[in-house]
Amino acid sequence: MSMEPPVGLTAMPVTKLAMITTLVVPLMASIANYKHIFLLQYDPFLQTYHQYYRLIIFQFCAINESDAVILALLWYLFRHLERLLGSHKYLTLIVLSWAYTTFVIWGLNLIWNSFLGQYQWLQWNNFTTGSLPIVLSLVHFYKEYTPQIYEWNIRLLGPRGGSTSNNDNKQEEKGAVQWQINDQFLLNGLVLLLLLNQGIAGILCGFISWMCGIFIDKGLLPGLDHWRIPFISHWISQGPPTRASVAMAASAATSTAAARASADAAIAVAGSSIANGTGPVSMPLRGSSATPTDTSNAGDDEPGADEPARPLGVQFLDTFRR
Amino acid sequence: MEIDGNTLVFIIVILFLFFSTPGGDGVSSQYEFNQLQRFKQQFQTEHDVFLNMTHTDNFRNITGFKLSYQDMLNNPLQNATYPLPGKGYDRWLPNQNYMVLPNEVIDTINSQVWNTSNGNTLNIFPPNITSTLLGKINVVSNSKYEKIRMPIPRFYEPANDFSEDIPPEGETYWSDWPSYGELHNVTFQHGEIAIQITHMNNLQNSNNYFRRNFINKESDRWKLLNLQIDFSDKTEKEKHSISSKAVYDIQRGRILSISQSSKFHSLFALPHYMSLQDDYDKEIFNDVKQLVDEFWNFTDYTDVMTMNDVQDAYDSANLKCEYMTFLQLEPWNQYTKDQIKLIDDELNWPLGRPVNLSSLPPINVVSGLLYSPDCGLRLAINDVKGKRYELKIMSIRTHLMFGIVLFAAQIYLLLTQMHHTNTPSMVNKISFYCFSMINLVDGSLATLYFVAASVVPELYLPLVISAFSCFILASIFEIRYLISIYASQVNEQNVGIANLLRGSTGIYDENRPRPAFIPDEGSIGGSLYGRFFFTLIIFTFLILSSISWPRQLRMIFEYILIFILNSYWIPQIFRNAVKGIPSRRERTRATNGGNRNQNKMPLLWSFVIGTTIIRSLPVIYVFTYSSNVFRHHKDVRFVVFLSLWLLFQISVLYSQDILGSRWFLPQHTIPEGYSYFKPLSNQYIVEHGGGTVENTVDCAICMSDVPIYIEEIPETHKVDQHTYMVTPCNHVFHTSCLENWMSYKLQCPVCRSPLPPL
Repeated sequence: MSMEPPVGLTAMPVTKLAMITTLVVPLMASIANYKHIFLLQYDPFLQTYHQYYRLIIFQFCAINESDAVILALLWYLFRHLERLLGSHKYLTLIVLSWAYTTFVIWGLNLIWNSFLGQYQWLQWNNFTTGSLPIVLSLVHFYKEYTPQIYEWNIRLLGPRGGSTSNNDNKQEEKGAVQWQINDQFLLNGLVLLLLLNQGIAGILCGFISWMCGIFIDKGLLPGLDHWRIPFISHWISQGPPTRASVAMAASAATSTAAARASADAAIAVAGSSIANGTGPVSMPLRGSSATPTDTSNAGDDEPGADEPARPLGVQFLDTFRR
Repeated sequence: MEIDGNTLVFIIVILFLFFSTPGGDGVSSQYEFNQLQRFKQQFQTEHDVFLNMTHTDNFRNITGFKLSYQDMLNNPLQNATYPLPGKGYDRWLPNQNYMVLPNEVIDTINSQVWNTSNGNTLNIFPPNITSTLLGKINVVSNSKYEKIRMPIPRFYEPANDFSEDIPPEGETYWSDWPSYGELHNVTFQHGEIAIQITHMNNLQNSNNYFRRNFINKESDRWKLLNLQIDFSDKTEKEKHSISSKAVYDIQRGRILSISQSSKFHSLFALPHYMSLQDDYDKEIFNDVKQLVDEFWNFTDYTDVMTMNDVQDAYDSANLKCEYMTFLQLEPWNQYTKDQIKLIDDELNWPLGRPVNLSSLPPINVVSGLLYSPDCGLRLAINDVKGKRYELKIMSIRTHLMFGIVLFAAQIYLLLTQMHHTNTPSMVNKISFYCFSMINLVDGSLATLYFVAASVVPELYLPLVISAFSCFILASIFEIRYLISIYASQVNEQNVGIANLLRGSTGIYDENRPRPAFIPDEGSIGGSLYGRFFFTLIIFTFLILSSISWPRQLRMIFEYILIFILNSYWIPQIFRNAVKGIPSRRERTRATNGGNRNQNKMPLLWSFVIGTTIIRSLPVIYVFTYSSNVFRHHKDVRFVVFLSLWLLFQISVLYSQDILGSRWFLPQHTIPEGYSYFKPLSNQYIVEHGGGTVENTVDCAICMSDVPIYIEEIPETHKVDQHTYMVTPCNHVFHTSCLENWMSYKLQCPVCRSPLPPL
């Protein structure tokens, strides 16, 4: 596995689904003025109105726009997890996290309120909005299984720090503050923001969800080891995106003409190599498939393939470009 | 930008002009200042009288209430003066001796209008009745009752010249003026009425912490409303509108509204006219008086008056009758008070409370009476009803979302259509006017949505999304497509229809000046965008102004407009006929030939049918669904006619697809088209020089030889004429070379003269 992650969401269907859900559902809900059905509170919705459907749907829509944006960014960062686990296992993990966090949070809330609920100021009334519990449960997996790639230091010197003199380095060291920051600091910052953004409920539910994540990982909450979501394996692609599958997906987007052209070019090169009587035939194939841009360039040179069929996305962009 | 002295002076001058316009109260001269002072003073003195008034006191010198109906019966030419000799000011009884209403009307109100709950307050009425009620209005009498003379103080009159500082004293009467005709009368018998009710909410002005005033303090029993009543005859030739404050008695479901102007200060009359029966009127009088006083103190009534108020009061006194409106609501006894509170909360601030909003009954005025004391008019209304405003907004929101789905579908269809015609030769066959019409409708819809978004703040988000999607459709995709259509048809400008039918852009002529400058898509785009926005603005203004036209004119305009705008396939039918697309059988036969792409029908069938459905769905909804959100009348016949018309257009298009696009033209009217495939004469080789091999020429595109068919040389007769193409300007290319080129530009690669499309 290479150090740099693949760009974009190519061949990452679960991350794509999660990000689209995080952003589109709030948008649709606010256009339709139905955001309120995603609001979950113990009193009055659960206690008085018995609207238990809110428990099932509350993780699908963040009510604040800032939460929606932070969650979408976090889902994007979590694409490493999809790469690591494979789409099918990742989706299973998300669904398990959703179910366990919802049940655990609800159960603890019931227990808390049945013992302490008679005191109004002790009642645990508010829940989080959006997929915060799922995300916090995934944070454990992210921290556990993704390697830290690099780190750096930030040194904040005191006043008259570096520039004044070279002699009293000792004093300088005293006034300096040094922070060690690694490549996961963006994730840490976003999670912190997400928790603080939702107040005490955010911190409480976040902590519980993190615990859920640990328990799912350790097998205390069963399911991840042996169970997968059935019937969707054909819908989700073949697994973790490898370099080859990314290249395949990219080249599938180019035209048939370009593909034909690249095949022609490969044959031509192969023919010439055979004619020269040197080298194995497999060489040009590797050369032509290493980077998809090469194949599309090859298509341009080909006479008769001067108008490649443009896919809809390219047309859409061309509409603005031309 | 560098700011030098001149710029600074300029900015200061602009700011001075900006800030030196009439300030908060709109006073711009000494005369107006005095007018406003007199106006405030008048209200102030009347308010002092009002404060001392009890439920057994008569009105004293309150404007408009100096005379009672009996006074007018006694002396029809009685002037409104105070005190009137012999009039008892220390007594008050609800009859025509003291009120401006005749006894007959008072009796009707007591027995037929305000009769639902008198002493008992067991009926439950909704406290929040923001809504627009619609129904019928009937004129009971417009000549029977004596008109009460109401003078307008002369200080309201505008100044005659600039030197005038002091407004004139005295009063004038209508009878002194030339006749105003129907302005002061209602001449029709039956008409339509719309009552728009909004609340003055329970607010507090917290700016001054120590002197907090409240409005609608007893909001569970009394409320102040704003009432906007519009009524007109069916043809909307005669329109009347009343805008006034109203008092809503929540316990009894009664609404009293009295219009106010410079001849009728109704605010002070609300307590007396709300209590028309003897037995419990003291309580009501005091409550309403307190309500009015709260309103007065809360708004600082006289302090915030402006010149606008003066002019409005004067205008409505001159141009309108005063109306007293008595309405009785239907009780909502099926709900308890708690349920109604829950419903109100859910409507105000939706949270998903367990209430069934869809079964909410309408606000219904079961009976009502309008009486105009100064015009002697009496009108009656029955069963005027409407949905709660919030429910109406919800249903409009649903409609808007459906519209957004339609726009999205249209964008998708247009994209597939654009993908289908991606070469200039294909685009050339599409009618510019067809898409112009579609584009005009979409563009003006976008502007209307934008206008509506600023008018209805509750629906801002869905309206802006609609406007945005509509605007993207119109100004990005459709204009983009129009530009490419226009660019592919630039060659055909100034070419007669006969030449177009022949398929060429004119006989090639060496001397004809070639277009020195063929506009590229950029410059075409600029001019098209300019034209688009200009027609858009004109068209939108036309539509917006047509809303206020009289009904008959409006309907004619609407029907013609809808008919024209729904004829969008007609230009395409003509275009097809001009371009001469062969019938489907010939096309399938020709598929083994070289240019199979060039002979497709220009419009996709999915696009044609989808667009027709998307565009006619809203029209069908508006014209067939009688309780539609636009309050549009029902007319099924027009919709059937329109659908048949669209069906006819589509069937003609389909017949062109099957039979060839010129099947309805007589054979002899169709001239021979230009053929790129023809033999050449020997002279051609002599003139243009041959290629490297005998009997060939150079193809300017691929720079290799083209074997040609020369009539005089029999050896060349085995050359297939379809392997090369001869342009009207006598240049020869390989068929594949020129066809490839022609999918980019319809211009000769050698001499730039226009080429007829394939």
